[in-house]
Amino acid sequence: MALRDGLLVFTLALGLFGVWNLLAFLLRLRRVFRQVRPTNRFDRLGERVRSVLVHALGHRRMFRDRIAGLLHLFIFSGFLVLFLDIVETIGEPFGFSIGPVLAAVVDSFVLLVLSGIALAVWQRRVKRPARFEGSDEHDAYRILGLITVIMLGIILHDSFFPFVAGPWFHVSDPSAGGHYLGHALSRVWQRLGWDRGAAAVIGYTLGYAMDIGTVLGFLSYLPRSKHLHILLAVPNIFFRRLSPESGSLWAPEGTPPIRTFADLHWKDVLDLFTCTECGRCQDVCPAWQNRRVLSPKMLILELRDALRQEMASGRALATTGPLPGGVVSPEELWDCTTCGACQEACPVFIEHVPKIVGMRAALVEEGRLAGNAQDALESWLAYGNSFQKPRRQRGHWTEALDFPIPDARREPVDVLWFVGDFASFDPGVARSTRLTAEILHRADVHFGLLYEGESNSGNDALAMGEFGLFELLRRDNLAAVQDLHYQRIMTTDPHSLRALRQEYRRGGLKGPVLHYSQLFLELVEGGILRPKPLGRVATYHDPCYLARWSEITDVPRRLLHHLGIELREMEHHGRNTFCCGAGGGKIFIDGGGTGDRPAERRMREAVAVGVETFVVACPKDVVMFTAAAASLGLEGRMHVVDLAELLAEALGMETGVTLALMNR
Amino acid sequence: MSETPRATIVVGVAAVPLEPSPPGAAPERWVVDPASRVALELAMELSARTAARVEALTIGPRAAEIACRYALARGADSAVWVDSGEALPAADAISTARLMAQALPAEVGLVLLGGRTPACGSGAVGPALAALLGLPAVSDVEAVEGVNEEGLRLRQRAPKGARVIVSVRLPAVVLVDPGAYRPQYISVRRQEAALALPIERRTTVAQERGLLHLVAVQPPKPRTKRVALADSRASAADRLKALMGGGAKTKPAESAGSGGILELPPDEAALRLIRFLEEKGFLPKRAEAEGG
Repeated sequence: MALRDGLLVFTLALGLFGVWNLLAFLLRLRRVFRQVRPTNRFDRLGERVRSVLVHALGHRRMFRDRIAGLLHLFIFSGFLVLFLDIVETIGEPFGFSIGPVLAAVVDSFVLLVLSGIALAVWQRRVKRPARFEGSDEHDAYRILGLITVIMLGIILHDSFFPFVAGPWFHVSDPSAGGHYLGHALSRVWQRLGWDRGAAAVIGYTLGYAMDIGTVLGFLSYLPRSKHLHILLAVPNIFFRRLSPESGSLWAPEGTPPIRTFADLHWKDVLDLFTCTECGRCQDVCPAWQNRRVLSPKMLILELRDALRQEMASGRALATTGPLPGGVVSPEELWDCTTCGACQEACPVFIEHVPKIVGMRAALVEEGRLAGNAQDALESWLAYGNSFQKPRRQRGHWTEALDFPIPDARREPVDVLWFVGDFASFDPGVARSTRLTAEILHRADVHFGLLYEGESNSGNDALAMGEFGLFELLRRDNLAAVQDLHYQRIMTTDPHSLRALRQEYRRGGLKGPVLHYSQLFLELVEGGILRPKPLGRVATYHDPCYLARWSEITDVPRRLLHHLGIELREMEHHGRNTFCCGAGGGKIFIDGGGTGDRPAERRMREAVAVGVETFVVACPKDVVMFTAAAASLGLEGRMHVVDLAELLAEALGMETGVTLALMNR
Repeated sequence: MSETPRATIVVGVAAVPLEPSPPGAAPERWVVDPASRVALELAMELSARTAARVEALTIGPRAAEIACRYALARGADSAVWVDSGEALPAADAISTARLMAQALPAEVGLVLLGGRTPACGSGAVGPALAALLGLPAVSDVEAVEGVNEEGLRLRQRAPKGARVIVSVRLPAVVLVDPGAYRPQYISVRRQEAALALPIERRTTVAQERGLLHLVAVQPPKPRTKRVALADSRASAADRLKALMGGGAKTKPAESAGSGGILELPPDEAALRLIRFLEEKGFLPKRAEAEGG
């Protein structure tokens, strides 16, 4: 009786203390939620539930790293099942039992969890993935240690329970046969003579404390640990941005510059405390790989740790900060290419990029810009393009054509082509722009341009945090198309594509918006264009803004298949593509970093798959990868080719004449 | 500048057409003259150091108002726009100076203007204004090194990279070197917020307007554009030379002097580097070193 009562008091006291600690933290968190901005993440509940099942229970993203996914699944599933153990352990002094079958299941999961822990330790000590750089290793080992203590505690108290059940609790032990691990250990105790008297009591109590004591102690430790994700991961996944809104850089409610914690919204706060410090985001970050300052993981952890301090201080969040230039350095913020690889890799769906963009906006409002960013912004403002060219020159590239392109401002068209700056002005891209026009002309597509009525879409201005400039450019473009007659909009620029589909749509843009690869595929599969197979081997680079932000990966591949291209995939492809380094305004901001530039790294991936043709579907990629091939001395060995050029070649169209004129 | 009463820095800001237009045709778009932005930047820096007021002053037609708006967005305390009816030619420095002189407040401590740029013509407005007001004028100023009750210590750019430090008593007219500062970026939202701020508008009488009148604008003749794309088959040294100088020549290694770009095998390169350092005095010549 005394033992049972003692255990009960121990359990209740520790339990209440743990719950109190956890509740105190959750109450502080609730105070934070009340001070930050709202955001609507309560729509499409069915999809959200499905998302949780796939990503939380199903571990879909975790399994991109098979070993990490496996070990986590072992530990995770163990935690779920071992809830049975907690109930049984607390209840068995009172005669409760889960029965031998479930007992055996519990013991099996104990082995599974211990295997997972062994794998985890091996991964950290032997494999030592670089993504753990910067993570709190002590916290990780502490958690692994505590879980191990729990597992050993289970085996221990199960091994001693048969000896104390009758004499001390006056109950039977129906689960005895099921707890095969404890049963095996029981024989050892019998041989040692520890199966009776004080030894049995001590052994049982020790095992109970190791198991239940540690579990309840965890409740107090959780708020200080990355292990808090066991409570927050499911809600964080549930409240994620769903497609297509996941492609937006701007919240529907409007995004203010993020200067203080009060400028975040509650999902941002949830993100900070859900981070597991796994470092997958860091691993895929082009800035980090280029040995720049930014690590998406460290950015989140810096914010989290700073917010913890503010919560402890009790200060109003609106008086905190500044975040940009204070908690987070401007260099970190300007290093980001907004490629979204971090978000794509994150198993708990943390949204890194909108936070970075929001903090950039605060720097922009203070006039604190990086490098040549200012020149680009001022050029957009003055000229509507980043090349400082007069607006009237936007359509000059059409003069190389031997047919006129209708002015969509004056006559109805089927397809309104939003050309974009680089496709209009950059001499290195003009060739593929011209070929795109010739292909559409050959296919008898009735397409037109806005000519000088088009301004830059503002996508890069938005990504750089110049929200006002984006709004101005969007207003100008929407005004330009407002009264026009067209069926669809097409663009060769994935950056413009994203903006047109997301923020422009919310601004009232009508009509579907296509990437040119989609229109080409439609023409080819519809039999309007009949390309001959090229019989060539190539690799295809997925533009970040096409693959991740606009979720188009399959269409260009199907097109290449129709062109008779044998596709060899690079290590990073599809939604896992690796950035060229141009996005987020980085093409205008000076370099830096001591490692390979992202585009050079990408080129090496292409070389590794043994191809000589590097296919791109973005004007900025033409620029970036042409330069990368040159800087690596691959000119003549690696040909950077736009989709339009390949299709033109497959159609037997003249593609060579302007090569010399373009000085390529 | 003394703080009581609060001294005023007047910064002349100009709006210029984004692209030249024929006489009689209104330019499509106006932008703030880059040199004016630099002057404004210095004005704001001085204001932060001395608590002086900053007043922006612009002379020009309606479109010139954007210069005042820009200054207010940047943080100027007030703005005055002298409506000259039509744009004064950049060459008409005297008329501009005269209108500025009339518009200056009585207690002006310092007048800042952007230095010579194509948009601002000869840069004569500043000296002309100083002459009209009987004030000292300092040009090509790239930094204010000190502020005291006496006046300002200024650093001037001088030919061949030299710098001259001068001290000037206030009030004075200072022309800021256009390359001295990178103007702060003013976001669109800040510029839009400045639209709500008041600008004092003053008109001019016809006789006060320009002595010169624009007759014609001749656009630049087309020139072949040098595109700095070096032949990728060339060596790294030749490509670098092409990018830097617009032409690549391979210098024979033997004829290379103590400088230039050379392409040599590693051992030879090391010896050549040592010889270069010895010639320049960074290393003792080997004979001297061995002699002790």
